Amino acid sequence: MRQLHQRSRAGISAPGLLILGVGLAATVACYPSGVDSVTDYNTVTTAYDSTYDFKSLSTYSIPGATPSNPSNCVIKDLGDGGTVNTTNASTVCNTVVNQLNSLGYTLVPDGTTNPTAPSFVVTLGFLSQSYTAWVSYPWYGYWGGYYPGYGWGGWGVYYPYYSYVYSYDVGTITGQMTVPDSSASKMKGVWGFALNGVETPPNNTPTVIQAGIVQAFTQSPYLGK
Amino acid sequence: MKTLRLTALAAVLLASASASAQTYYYGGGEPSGPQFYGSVTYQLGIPIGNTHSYVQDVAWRGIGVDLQWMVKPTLSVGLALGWNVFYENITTTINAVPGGVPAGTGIAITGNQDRSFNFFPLLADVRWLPKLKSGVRPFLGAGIGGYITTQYLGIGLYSFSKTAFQFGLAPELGVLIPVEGGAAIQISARYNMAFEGGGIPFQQWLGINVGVAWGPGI
Repeated sequence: MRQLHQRSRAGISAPGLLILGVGLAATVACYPSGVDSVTDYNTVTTAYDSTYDFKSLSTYSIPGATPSNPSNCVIKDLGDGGTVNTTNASTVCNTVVNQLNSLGYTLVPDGTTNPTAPSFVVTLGFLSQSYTAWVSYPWYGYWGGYYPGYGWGGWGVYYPYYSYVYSYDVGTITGQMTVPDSSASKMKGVWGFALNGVETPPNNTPTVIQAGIVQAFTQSPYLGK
Repeated sequence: MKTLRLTALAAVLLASASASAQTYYYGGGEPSGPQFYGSVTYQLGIPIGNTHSYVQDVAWRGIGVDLQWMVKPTLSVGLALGWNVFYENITTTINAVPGGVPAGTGIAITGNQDRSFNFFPLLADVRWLPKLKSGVRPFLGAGIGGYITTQYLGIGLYSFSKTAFQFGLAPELGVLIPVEGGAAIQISARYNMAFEGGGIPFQQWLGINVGVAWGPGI
């Protein structure tokens, strides 16, 4: 399955025979796969500024979220700039807030209603992209048959290649922790996460999304007061 | 004259004693020319070191072909070729060391991963293989050459692979057990070492090889 996706391959520059051998090896190499569910395509990626002291942070805000209604947070559509309003949005908002609160940070209303600036801001986003893939099935020989237009038999390809075309959507949920950068009078990102996976049931359920967000915090032990 | 006879007798006795003390012999005298024997083996691979860090599972996909020519009654030279696939499916977190790219950024990725190595040994091989009276031929071999190595990682919706040539050494200990028809069972343990090259670090594994050998050289 993974052979349908992006692949980068690097070889070495060497004399002819070696290049031939390397090329041959790359051609016949065997790539087994243990993927047996769309959930196996999910990834949780986190990145952080290793020089930043996350213990210095105390309060935070998420656009649209309030302590009394954290599930009202804004999830930006990174494709068209709009907002996402799905049943999964509340799952994303509540899970992020619960994780941050459990780390000792305190949610405060965002800047529209709170004149006191929080020590960091979390913004959430979503992106959906469609991909099209195809599989072709060469049909190999039937001994001795005669098929008009394709000549006499023997082992060979008789039929035109059949292709099966399918499409799938890949969804990405992102979160970014930003702090004021006093030296530049800007906000800068110090931590972020991205959940990536195929938007196909049962992969786009609240349970899977919640587990992904929890994993993002689990693999970020440097967070917290 | 008497002295000469005594000396000749002593020489014969010493030669006999020396011959009987040897643990091997080569029947039929010196061959008229290099005699060939070959083998095809099924190869299990036990990963060690960096290889084990990347793929912990034993590699059960492996095949090898040995081509040997007897240049002396107890010495053969030839080629050792093969294909060994190490594979593991694992769900774990890959942590990049802080200070990566860009500097000061630490990255972690969690997901289901297909990890594999494809090794293609291309070794020149030399073997010392005495022949016991039973016909069994234990052998001590050494291979030198290289490995064409492809390292593969599939994670999430993406996959990456890198192919490189690595200089290699492979000492081997084994035995050829004759069976009927000029064939033999070959069993050996080969320690494969593929040194760092082309961006792939030093790899090593112990190969347990079992197969069939044949040819007049056995």
